[in-house]
Amino acid sequence: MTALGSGARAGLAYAALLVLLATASVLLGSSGLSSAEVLEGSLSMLGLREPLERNAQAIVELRVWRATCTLGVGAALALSGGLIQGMFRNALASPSLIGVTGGASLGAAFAILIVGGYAPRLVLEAGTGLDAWLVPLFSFVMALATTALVALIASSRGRASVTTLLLVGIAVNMCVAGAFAAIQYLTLEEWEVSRAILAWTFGTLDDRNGLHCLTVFVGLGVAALAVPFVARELDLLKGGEEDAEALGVDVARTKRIALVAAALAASAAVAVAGQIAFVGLVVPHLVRLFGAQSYRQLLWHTLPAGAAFLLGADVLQRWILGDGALQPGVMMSVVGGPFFLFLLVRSRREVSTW
Amino acid sequence: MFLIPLLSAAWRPWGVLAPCALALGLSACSRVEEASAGAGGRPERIVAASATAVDLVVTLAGLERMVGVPAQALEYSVLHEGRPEPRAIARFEAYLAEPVLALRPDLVVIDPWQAPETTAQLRATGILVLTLPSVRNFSDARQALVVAGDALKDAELSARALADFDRRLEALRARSRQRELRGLAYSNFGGAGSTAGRDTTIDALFEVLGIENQIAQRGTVGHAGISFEDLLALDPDLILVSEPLRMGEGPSGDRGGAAERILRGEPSLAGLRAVREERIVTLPAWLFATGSHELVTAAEELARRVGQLEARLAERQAR
Repeated sequence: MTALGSGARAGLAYAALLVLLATASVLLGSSGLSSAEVLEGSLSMLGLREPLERNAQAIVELRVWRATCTLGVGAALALSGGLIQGMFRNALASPSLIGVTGGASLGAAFAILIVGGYAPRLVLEAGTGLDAWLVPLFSFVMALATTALVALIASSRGRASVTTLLLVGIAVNMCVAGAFAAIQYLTLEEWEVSRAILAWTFGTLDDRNGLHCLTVFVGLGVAALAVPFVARELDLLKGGEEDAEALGVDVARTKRIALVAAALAASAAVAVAGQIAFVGLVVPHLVRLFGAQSYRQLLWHTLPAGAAFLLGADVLQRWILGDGALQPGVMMSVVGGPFFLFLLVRSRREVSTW
Repeated sequence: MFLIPLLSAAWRPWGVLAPCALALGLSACSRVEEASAGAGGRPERIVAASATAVDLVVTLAGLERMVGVPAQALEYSVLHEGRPEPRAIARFEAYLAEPVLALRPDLVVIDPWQAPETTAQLRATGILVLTLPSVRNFSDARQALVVAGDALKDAELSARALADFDRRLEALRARSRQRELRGLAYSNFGGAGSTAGRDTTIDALFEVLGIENQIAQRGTVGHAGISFEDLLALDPDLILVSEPLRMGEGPSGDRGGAAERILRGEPSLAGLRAVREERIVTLPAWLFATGSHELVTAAEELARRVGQLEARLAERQAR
């Protein structure tokens, strides 16, 4: 039993926390619906009540999808962070290292350009009616494609050393960031498009719907399926690849599975919520802080912990700041940066061994 | 053809250092001091470096004296869709010293947000740079006409433009009544929605037409994000959006128009009154974004379109 307690107790605690946070999230909003209305509208989504008046029902549904999406995004980013840290054997690694965030940003920028009309007529006609879907779709595809490119370049005969992967990741990230900056520069005078691209980089949890939730939970679900196949192996990898191989770990396979799962989870999250930094980096640390040291525990704990972390931070800032609430990417950078520093200072002795 | 001598000059050390040193010294000077430096003669080679500047130069000096415009201004200014037909006016992609210097202007007209380092470079070479006032309402737009009119030195055109602006604004105000319409502007490029609050040209348009801008009413100043929940909670009587640029006739096709498509296509917004009752009002992109005296044209066009909407609603009610 760890500091997180037994599986059942921890599960109950997480469930209670998540229900509490989700309830708070659904109750918070700009339109001043009463708790009774929110409850009634939520029950109506389950077919247990008559729907509220049209707009009120739509508002409740938007809030429910927002909360659900936030849970999924938090869990997916945290799981991805845990997998990446395990694979790189470095607690400072995060999903952005393998190009997920950069690729997603570039994809989103392309999509915004298409929605803004900067594309050949054929593409514009094909995209008609898909305006709201092009951004998540393009960012998802580009996030995965960028990670695949990193893996492809870094691999030699099906194997990739962590150092090579890291260096290729940095190089590809620089290329992608360059392309993204070029788009930003070229659209600088088109302030509406420019603003839309910039806004995406701050992340958003507003205006989400069922399909957004489905996207993130499918990505998360498939990634979570990989955990039993890599958790023990990642623990053995802590001592080095040679030792792990001597203990029977298929290192190349483990890294492949971890990479695909991490990319899938992070891509799905970033596609529906934009850039949200620090969750993938900080949550695994928090989980370690509470006692889950082995990846067999840590990876499972990152799921509810990531969900609670992002939703909790979002609820807290919306509760405190109201209409002045920050976009989630900005919020996580403002709060996550100092928080991460705090964690580093707290465990300074451990840091010195990195 | 102007680029070659300029580039060769720029390679000499003094060609680079002297303007930089001068720029540092002159950047501290105020706009008024700069304007007085070139007060001797009427500028004949004018570069209008923004869409707002293009609108003003076309009105106050005519196309003949304009030697360069930014490519983007062709879509967001009075020159949109080639009307009036711009003769061979040079186009440049960005407000940078080199492409502007290559046009050998004697006056460059810019918006206040444009790159100060480029402005300093231009001033360092002795070119008069006129910085227009920021336009947020009709009073600012009139002030921009006055400031630009003074610098362009065509008293007759300037007086005519001012009189025309005053007459049209007066006519709009005379026709204006407090409409019982609450509205807001909406933009969305597939990422997140945005809108316009107080101290924006959109707010000025709403105000002159007697439409309550719900975003300004709730205390928002400037442009801000808006969620679907906000839209549903406000449930405006009308939503103002931009039309696609060039209406599908340009080389790159139908540019924009996404906000209207998203409003009509998003299932959760189906309950919005503006969507249900066809109360989405569009404005041509160049008028939606105008920051010049053409604000009065935008107001006239919006008044016409809102009038059509009201007539349609009245007809529907009568049935």
